[in-house]
Amino acid sequence: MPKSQLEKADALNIASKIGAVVKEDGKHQKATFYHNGKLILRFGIRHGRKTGHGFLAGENGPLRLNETRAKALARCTLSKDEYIQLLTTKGVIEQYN
Amino acid sequence: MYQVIYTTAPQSQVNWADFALENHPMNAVIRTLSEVNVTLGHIISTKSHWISGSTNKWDLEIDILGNNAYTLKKPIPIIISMDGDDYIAQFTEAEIVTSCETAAEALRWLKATIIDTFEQFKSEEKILGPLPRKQLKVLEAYLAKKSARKS
Repeated sequence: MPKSQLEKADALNIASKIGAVVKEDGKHQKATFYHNGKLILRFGIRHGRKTGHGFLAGENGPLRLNETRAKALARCTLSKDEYIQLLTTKGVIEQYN
Repeated sequence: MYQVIYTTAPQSQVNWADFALENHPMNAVIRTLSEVNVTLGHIISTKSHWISGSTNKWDLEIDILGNNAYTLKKPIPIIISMDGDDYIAQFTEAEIVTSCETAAEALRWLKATIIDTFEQFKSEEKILGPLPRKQLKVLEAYLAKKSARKS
């Protein structure tokens, strides 16, 4: 399997873009995403400047996005609103009528 | 401290040490798991197995989280896999995953993350969405905080 192209900068971009709360977690960091007052998901961000973050990708990964979409979210072609819509479709965000 | 009990080769079950001595592509990983075991002393079994098209995936169980405030109700099943040169450690059922340059580091971070996730989700239990609610339920099935000792 080829190595993931997701890097730490992508993870930090995603956290910033979705407004996740980033805190220190030992030598690593943790990002927690809240939406409409609910804790939706959390994911880890590795220490090291150029470290791989392929572990965040995958349909059952912490972000609930495949590699392509995770990169799109990090690199601006997938918006926060579209991401929230995706998470709602997957049942990760509850829909209130 | 527990030892690695066994590893399963493609066609036969053999002692892991003998297995590691063979000229086999998994040798590096077997050595790594051995190192993890020696370093952390928390692996109670490994079942290395071959996935179609990939040899880089191993099942194991841990029975200690390395935090005296917590106790495990049952061993936690862990999968270690590889992404290029990086090791990925995951507690699949609780959907918790970490990655580092060595298996030992990935496992160490995973164990810390299991506890930190449990503590965070317990403290924010009232506002959990569907995914963390499900994760907390799984975590509660595996670990519990020890009662405070009376002085």
